[in-house]
Amino acid sequence: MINSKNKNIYRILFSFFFFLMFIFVGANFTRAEIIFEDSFDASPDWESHESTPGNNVNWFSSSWIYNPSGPPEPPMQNWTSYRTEIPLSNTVKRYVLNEEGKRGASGKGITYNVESKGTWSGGGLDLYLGNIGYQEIFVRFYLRYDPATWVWAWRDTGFNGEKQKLIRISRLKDEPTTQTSWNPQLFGTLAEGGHQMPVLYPDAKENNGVGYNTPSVNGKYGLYLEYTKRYDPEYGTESPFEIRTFPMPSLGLKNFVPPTSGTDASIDYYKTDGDWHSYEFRVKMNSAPGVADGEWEAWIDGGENPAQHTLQTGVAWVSNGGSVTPGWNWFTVLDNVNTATGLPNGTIMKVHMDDFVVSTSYIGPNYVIGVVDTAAPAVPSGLIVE
Amino acid sequence: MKKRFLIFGIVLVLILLFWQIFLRDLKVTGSAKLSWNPSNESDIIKYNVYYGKTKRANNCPGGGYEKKVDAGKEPLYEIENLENNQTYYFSVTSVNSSGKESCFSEEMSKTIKISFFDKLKSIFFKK
Repeated sequence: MINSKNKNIYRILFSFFFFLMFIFVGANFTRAEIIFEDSFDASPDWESHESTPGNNVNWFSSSWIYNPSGPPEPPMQNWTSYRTEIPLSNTVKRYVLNEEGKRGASGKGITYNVESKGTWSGGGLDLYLGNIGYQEIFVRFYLRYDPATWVWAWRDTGFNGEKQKLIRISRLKDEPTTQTSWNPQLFGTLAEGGHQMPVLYPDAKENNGVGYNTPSVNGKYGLYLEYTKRYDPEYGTESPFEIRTFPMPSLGLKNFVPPTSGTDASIDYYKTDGDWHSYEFRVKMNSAPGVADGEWEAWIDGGENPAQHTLQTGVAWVSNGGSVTPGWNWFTVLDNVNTATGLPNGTIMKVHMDDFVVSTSYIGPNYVIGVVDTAAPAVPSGLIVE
Repeated sequence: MKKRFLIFGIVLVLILLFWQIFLRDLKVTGSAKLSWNPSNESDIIKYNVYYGKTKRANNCPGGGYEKKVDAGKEPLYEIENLENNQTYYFSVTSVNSSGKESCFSEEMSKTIKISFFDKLKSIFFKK
């Protein structure tokens, strides 16, 4: 028998259950498919500062938007922070947001002015997504290596070949907005605090093997992507580099001679194709520490060429002793470049970036920022069954 | 005359044995090749193929078929392991980069017919 007192209890329980359902469903609604997107078109023109006295690299906390007193050298609109090396030539700013970097007929984009130095050069633009993060996340952006200034090169002695960290996809483990004692821009070793783990670095890299060219020779490419994975909490204890013969868009003109006086003629140069190409990456955290069911995936130009898509399963991003929460919540794009080019020091090479999108599902090269296609596509026609 | 009956009997027994051993319980499946017009919308990321043994109940996904497969970006797909003498119904949808899916295309059907020759082939040329 259900008396009136029990009925009230049931009503209260039902209401509470309904309230919880509402909260959870509401939380899912707030997690829209697109997490972040920036075409840069609506942003004010911006350029990085490389003038902090006493620092050869300008970074946290001068550009950090959570700096309690306000960042003296703020990042571009919508972004979290940046770091940049002081240029050798000091004739250009490392990162510039203006019309020069646009993809398409109008708008704006980012120009990354890389200097040839024969060693590491650069910085990075940071985006932090909060201290909850996402267990699975996709990021897509467009890059264009300027054919008038950019060359990829390799020499067989002295340097390891040119490479660029296209992006670092990582998890900042600790709440950064209130602290002042550590630097969230350090992709840290344990000695540095280990706050940024795990990390996936997709690197655009030249092939160190002799005689490779693009398109493939013996399944190898002159320009390709390689991957570095850093795990949590055992930073660097596993082999960090994973070489994948994953061809980069390029003309692959081996022995191309750059139009720069003082060029080292003993070096093999590869020329870029000068087109915009879409780069998309996916990372999925493992389900529990020590369980090897995490993943990462990459597409160039949507994987239209099957060779430009790769998937790795069975990744234990977080090992025993770590935690799979928070999820992925940090990107550093247009990161360091090892400019082992043999071009005269200070030679500027430009790469442009535009249309940066973060999502909980596959984005693809055709997704257009600001144009949400809310209509269902047309019904396919002409179906034939044989 | 006796010899003829003997040969006929042996051949008959051989045929029956062959039938019994190889063909009686042989389950051979067929396939259906589907093709359709490619979409002219620039943000189509894939097509889905729906099929089943009964006609669909609704014109849009959610009311329809027993099976659904991701057919990828190309406007053609082959479905295998379809049962002999069974009629199947097929439709296609398109999906755009926003995750929106179209309603079903026209519904087409095919009755799978596997010939004796196909059965023989399947014995000797197993896939």
